[in-house]
Amino acid sequence: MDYILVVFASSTTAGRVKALLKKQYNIEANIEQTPSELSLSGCSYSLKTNEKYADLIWKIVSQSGLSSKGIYRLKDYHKIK
Amino acid sequence: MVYLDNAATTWPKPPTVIGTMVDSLREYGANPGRSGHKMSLRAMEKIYECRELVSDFFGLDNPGNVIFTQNATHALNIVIRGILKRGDHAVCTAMDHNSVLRPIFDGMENVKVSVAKPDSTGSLTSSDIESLIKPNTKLVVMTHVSNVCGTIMPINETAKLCRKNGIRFMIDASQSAGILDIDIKSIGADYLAASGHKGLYGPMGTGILCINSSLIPDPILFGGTGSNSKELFQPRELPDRFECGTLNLPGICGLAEGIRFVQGNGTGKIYSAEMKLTSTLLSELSHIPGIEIIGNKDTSGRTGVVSFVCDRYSPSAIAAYLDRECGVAIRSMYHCAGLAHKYLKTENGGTARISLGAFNSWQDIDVLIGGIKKLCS
Repeated sequence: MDYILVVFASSTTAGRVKALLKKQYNIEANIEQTPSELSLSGCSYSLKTNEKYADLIWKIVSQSGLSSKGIYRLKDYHKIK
Repeated sequence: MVYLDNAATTWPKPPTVIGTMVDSLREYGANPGRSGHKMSLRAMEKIYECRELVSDFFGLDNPGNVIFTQNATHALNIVIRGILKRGDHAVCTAMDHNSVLRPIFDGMENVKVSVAKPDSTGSLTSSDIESLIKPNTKLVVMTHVSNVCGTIMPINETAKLCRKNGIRFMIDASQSAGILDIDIKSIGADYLAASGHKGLYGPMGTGILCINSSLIPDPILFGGTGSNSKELFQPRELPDRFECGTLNLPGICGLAEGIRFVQGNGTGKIYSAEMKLTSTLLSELSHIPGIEIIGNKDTSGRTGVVSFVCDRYSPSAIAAYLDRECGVAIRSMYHCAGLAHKYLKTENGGTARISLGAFNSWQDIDVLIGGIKKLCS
């Protein structure tokens, strides 16, 4: 399975999106500390989940008025969104 | 001990509150939102669960708009000092606590403040607020319930008035959260401050700020947030903007458990039970010669905070006697609400204050009344 990291500045936003994914879509995602290669402005937290949910998550984040620092492929840190 | 000082802090706390606090320290006592290891992440997710619970409890859609503070005073300071700027006008009331009055007056010479004056029972109407509004009024702050005499203030009408005039409205819910139902969105308030350790049955050292406004205050405290660490500026995102330094993990977990206790009983049931005791208390006090009840003499428009004075003994002498001779704990004097006493006519010595909680019983009232009767006989 290929994973993505959805990077957020705030751990609370990460928690909120995680809760939304579970409640509305039954999608599991785990919160992890963002690797330093992707933490351009310093410490942050990410949601790790299946790459197939990237478009859905980006839509959820945009429609909820939340802000993400981007979605990256875990294996090579390539920026998808 | 007969504990009747719940307006200062509720006691006892539900056993589940204490248990949860101990569990948090024992099982996931790492710093939440600072590291990447399992225990830190577990602590962080626990904080998020607590934030969601508080958000639901006060009617917010977004848990990010719940800020955990040290106490209600801290929450009030964030908004009052973070919103009001040079040339602004603010309105508060004479029934407000010093946690409103001091941040709004001290060091705020460039902000004009008008104070709504209550009647002799400590009651106000929204017209009292309306008469003070000016073109540059930016913020109205109002206590929901007086911590001196339990009077319930007209927050719904005041919120409506503020919305009509484009003025931000802040509720100090220190004495009402957990006792009266509060839905910040339905009321139409912009900000709400609450103590974690009074009607919400959490531990001391906890408080809540709810933000329901597009106007976000400037921060008054700056520091580490576990986010955007390379930037030298406080994050704009909530709640990080106002939560710097290590969060009080055991306190917040205990607070959430306290809210679960309130939800399990229902605020309506808690209030109703307190009012039954209050009704008896007011009736018994009114029949003791020399005792005068301050504020509403019956249960209408009030909570279970009851102040009284005696023609023969000062409030502090009454409190000392009850503590020493009867094992009854009440509070006396000014209750950090100096302006209120001018209008309640209790400037000389303040009042003796009884404040009920969810764990008080008829026996507690009997012991209290017995003690007061003995003193006054």
